[in-house]
Amino acid sequence: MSDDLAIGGPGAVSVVTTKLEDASRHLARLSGDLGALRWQLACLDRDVTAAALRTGEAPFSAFAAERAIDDTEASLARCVETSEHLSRSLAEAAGRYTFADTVTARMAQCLAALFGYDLGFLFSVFAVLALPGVSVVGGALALRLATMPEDRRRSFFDGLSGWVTAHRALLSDPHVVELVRLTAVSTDDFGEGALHVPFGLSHLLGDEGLGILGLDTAAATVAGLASPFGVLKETPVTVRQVGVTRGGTVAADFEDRARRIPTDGDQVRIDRISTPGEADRFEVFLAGTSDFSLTPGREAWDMTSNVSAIAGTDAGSYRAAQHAMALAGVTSASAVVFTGYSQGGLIAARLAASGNYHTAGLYTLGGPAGQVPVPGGVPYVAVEHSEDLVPATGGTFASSDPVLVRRSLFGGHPPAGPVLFPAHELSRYRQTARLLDASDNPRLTEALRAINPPTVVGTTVTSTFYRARRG
Amino acid sequence: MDQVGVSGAGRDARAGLRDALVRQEEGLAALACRFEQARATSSPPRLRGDWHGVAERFYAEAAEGLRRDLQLAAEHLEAALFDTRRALATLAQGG
Repeated sequence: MSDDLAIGGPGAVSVVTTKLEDASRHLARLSGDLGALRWQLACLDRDVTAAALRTGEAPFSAFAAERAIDDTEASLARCVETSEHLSRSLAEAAGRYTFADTVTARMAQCLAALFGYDLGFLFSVFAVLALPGVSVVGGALALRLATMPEDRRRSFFDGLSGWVTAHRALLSDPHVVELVRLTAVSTDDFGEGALHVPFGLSHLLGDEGLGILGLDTAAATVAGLASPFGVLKETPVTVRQVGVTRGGTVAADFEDRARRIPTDGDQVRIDRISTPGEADRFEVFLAGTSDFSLTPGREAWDMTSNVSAIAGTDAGSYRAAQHAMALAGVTSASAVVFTGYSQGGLIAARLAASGNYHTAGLYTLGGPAGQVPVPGGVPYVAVEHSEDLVPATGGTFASSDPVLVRRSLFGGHPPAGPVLFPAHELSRYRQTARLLDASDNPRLTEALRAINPPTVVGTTVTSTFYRARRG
Repeated sequence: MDQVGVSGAGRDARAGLRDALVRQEEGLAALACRFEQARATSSPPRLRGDWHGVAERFYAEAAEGLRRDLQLAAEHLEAALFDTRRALATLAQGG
């Protein structure tokens, strides 16, 4: 498991420029240290002059020491020059790699959009031609499944699930993850191709152009088409407070915040930070998806909420979080830091982008929030594992500019075990959060400084936990 | 033989030289410590496989050159310290 973090903007896709930047900073520090030592040596050298050596009838070794000091100074001068040069070159290389990555990512997105459009166009043509055949074959298969004895049907689905489990390594392949990311941002192009919208117009309206149509439009279309059948259909939600603890501490770093994300059935935790003489501040922690079925049940953190949140409509979990915040006393003037994992990250980004709150910071772990237009002034750190499919389903960060931290976990060898998406586990994101805290990368430390409130004596923290249900 | 001849007239100058060499020895010892600390915390890192061929070779060669120069500086500094101490010992023997 690698401890390397790729820290950059949305374009960082191929070269881990963070290591180059870190090395550049190290060398700059070395150059500074050696320069200072060289200056101290020169001062020291002035103390024992050639005249003093002559008049003091110095032993040979004193002259040898002088020569050695001169040689040391010459070597140090070369070291200062080389380390300075290397430091500048590394910073330059990192900058150029980042630029190249940004251009490559942009080109990949444009190509994916073109491919998606063409695929949609061809699909619409062939769908008409093949519709009768597909209907007959599909109908026959559906009938066969429906009339199958229960044990054979279960065995069929077990086999299907077994196949997926046997090939689960593919689900953690970084190339597949990138493919999913590009597919996600091309779904609108597929639809526009299928509707025969002129390509120029499609390009102009899509993510690559004005950003009017995108993944959110595609998700809204899917939800709109499915909801008449009771699938992905939004429902009212109710929220209740399930616990309060007092006397806690203020969240201080990335790992601390990751550890406060609820995991035991509660979906929202809100820390109220009260300082005498100041307005209360809040930290909101949002959990990940609990129910993966497409048909809404009682759980508000479900797939319906996921699709609705990606579509930018009022997801059940979004409304629940808003309701919980209102119950906790959060107003539009309260400073709020949002932290969310998976669906919680998406909801956190939506809340930060809503403009309804005074967002003091946003921190997402494995959240499919790429397409959420979070305002540029919000300190925003997004953490993703290179093998995690879930954030990739949110597409690229086309309309926000987070400090994007990527970490590769498995080096091409995902762990054996029953977990389908091991790179998405919260426990692994918590480990990565610890590495964020250990990093001295200036973008990260600056973001943390911006997110963290100043520590004041007399501050108290009250943590309230909420649970939301549909219906 | 490290000693040179001593005349009576040079005795005062010699005492001044001894004082200067003592300061030099102390300064060099402290400098050697700080130099080793700087080397230990910030020596050029190895960056294999983090980027592409030509840049990697360029960096590897330059970093190797820097490591050699750092080693050379350490050896010169050690020699300067050793010779200063030897000079002080010689002066002490000579009164």
